[in-house]
Amino acid sequence: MIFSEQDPPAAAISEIHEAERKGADDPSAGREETYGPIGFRRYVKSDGRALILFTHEGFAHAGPAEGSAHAGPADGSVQGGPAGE
Amino acid sequence: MSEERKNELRDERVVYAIHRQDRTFLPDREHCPLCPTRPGHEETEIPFPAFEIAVFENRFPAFEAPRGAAEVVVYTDRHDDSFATLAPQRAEALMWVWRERYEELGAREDVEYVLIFENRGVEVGVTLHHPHGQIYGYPFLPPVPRLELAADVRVGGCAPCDLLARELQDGRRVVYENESVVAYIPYAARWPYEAHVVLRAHRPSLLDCEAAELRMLADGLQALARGYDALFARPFPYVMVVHQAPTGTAGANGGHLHVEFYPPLRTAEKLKYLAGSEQGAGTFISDVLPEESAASLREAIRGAA
Repeated sequence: MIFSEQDPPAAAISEIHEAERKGADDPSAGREETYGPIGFRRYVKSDGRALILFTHEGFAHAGPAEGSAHAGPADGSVQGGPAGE
Repeated sequence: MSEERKNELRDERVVYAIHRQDRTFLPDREHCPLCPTRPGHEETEIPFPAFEIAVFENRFPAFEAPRGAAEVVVYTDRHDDSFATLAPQRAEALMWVWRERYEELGAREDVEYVLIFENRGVEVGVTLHHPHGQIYGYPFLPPVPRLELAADVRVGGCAPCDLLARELQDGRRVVYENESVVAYIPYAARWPYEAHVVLRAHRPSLLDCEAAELRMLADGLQALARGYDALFARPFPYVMVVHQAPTGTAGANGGHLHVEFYPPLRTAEKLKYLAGSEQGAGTFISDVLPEESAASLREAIRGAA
């Protein structure tokens, strides 16, 4: 994982911490999720827009197509940041 | 919020997203909003010093909840890369990102059709050079997928399956093949170097693909993109569009996953413009036969491999 080991700039930290705080109420929010052979985390930008960072390094390639473990809300809303690190 | 109006003469909707008039336009690389944020520098759209693939809601959306969606997909944190030069593993991961976004956006009640696309080059109106694509979640079924569904009815089955069989039988316009996909310039291509990358098996959407098929799709798309760049020894502008099944109630049983490329070049320096006949009559006039452009593109793909 590249992003979890490096610090985002200061301006972004507060929003991500805020997202973490909100995410604490929802255990499914902000966790590292998997989708087939890739992983991802959801964040909330300071203006409320959703940001998702996907990673494939560290994940096995060519996982089963039906191996989805999608946990996102159906309406696409973003609930929290990188909680559960 | 955008406004939709119905054009009665064309039986189509026009979307007015007037806030997009002020969107970022060809910034220099020091101010690229899609690059990672560097310590001590202005924050970009991605407030991290490195990333692999990023997706975020468009700051200047053509569609937004509760009537659709508009997202940006950044392929890499390397400003000078392109879809063609991504590492194969990254391109394969991008197929999964597309799949995940298609699934999530397609599950929304306000999204009838998910369009994944990339505009490459100033010739097709790109405003940011950093390698990226976009995803629109349309709150209605747009005309092109509607026409594709109508083609299925005319053919009495899956039209892309039927066309693929015909192209394979003819063979003259096929430019690339692997185990899962075939790329060809269509018999009645509108653009001189228009190419379609089609799944051999009937797969309505990315959700129906096996993992190996997604890998082969990425391979095929990259082979074509590299061939395009080699064709005239220059970055080749194109519009790349992923066609797949509608996600709303209309046409839920139709669709065959394929990716269409619409490149505007007809020679290394000359553009094909949409002029009187194309815009006024809806009839494309082409200067190049598909069989001839296929021969040169096939050679370019082979040479770039």
